[in-house]
Amino acid sequence: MAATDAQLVERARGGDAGAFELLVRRYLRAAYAVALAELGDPAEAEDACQDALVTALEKLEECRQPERFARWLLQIVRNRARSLRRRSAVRAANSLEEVRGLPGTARPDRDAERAELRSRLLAALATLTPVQREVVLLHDLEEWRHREIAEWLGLPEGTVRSHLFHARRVLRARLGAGLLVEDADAAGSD
Amino acid sequence: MLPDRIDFSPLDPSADRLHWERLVASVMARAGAELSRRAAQRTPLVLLAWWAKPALSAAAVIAAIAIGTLVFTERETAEAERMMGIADALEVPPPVNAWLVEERDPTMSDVIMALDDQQP
Repeated sequence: MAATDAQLVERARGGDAGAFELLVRRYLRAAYAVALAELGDPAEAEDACQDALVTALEKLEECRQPERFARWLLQIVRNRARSLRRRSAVRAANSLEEVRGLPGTARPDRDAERAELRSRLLAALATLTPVQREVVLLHDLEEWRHREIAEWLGLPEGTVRSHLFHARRVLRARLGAGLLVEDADAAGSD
Repeated sequence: MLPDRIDFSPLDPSADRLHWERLVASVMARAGAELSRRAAQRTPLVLLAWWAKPALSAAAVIAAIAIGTLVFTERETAEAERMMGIADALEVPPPVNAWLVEERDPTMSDVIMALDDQQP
């Protein structure tokens, strides 16, 4: 049986690298979704996640409810992302329109196509409100349920559904029906 | 009804296995110093000291109770011995001495038994 968050947090408090790595692997994607919603730039979102995870480890004693580690961590991620955004406001505003390659993925044919998709996705995401971005990324990228997103954002579940509805509609309009039909059908809907 | 799910895989950091592992490794590398510091704090000696704290507290409480009991018992014994010493000096008969120590008035049967004991 997989260790609970509370068990992993307790072990990480004692310097157990394996336990901390499990926490990292469990929540890095969610952290990335939250950071990306704030920053709009994949590379900056990854930086924010790394900073936040290290900060979380340093402040692990302040996590008073280890069973709710994810919520506590994501708050740190969001604060870190907002801090980064304030520091580089101009750059962040422009970055949504940039095409950025992920480090270590130098495969020209496939990467060129993915870079194009990424560029269009980021541009479309930039047209959403921050909360819409966070909802749609947590739901469609990280596959959180409406209830989980509602709890995290402190919103009614109906509001989350509404944000998701509008976000998807805007993105569909921006991206075009043909762009992601195949993948979207494979992924299904909630 | 909700529109179809958006495929965000081009933005998914875990879609590229190599990139994902590098990302995790990078976090772990940055966390290394803090993890080492924490591990160093949990050496057997420190753990022992950590466990010893409540044990020491309990021992202190037990010691305080034991000392209090000893002092109280010692005081009662000394008082009884002092009373016995005075009675011996005055050559008080043993039954009367016992009544004095017990701080009670003798009953009629006590007096009769004491007088019987005095008979040669």
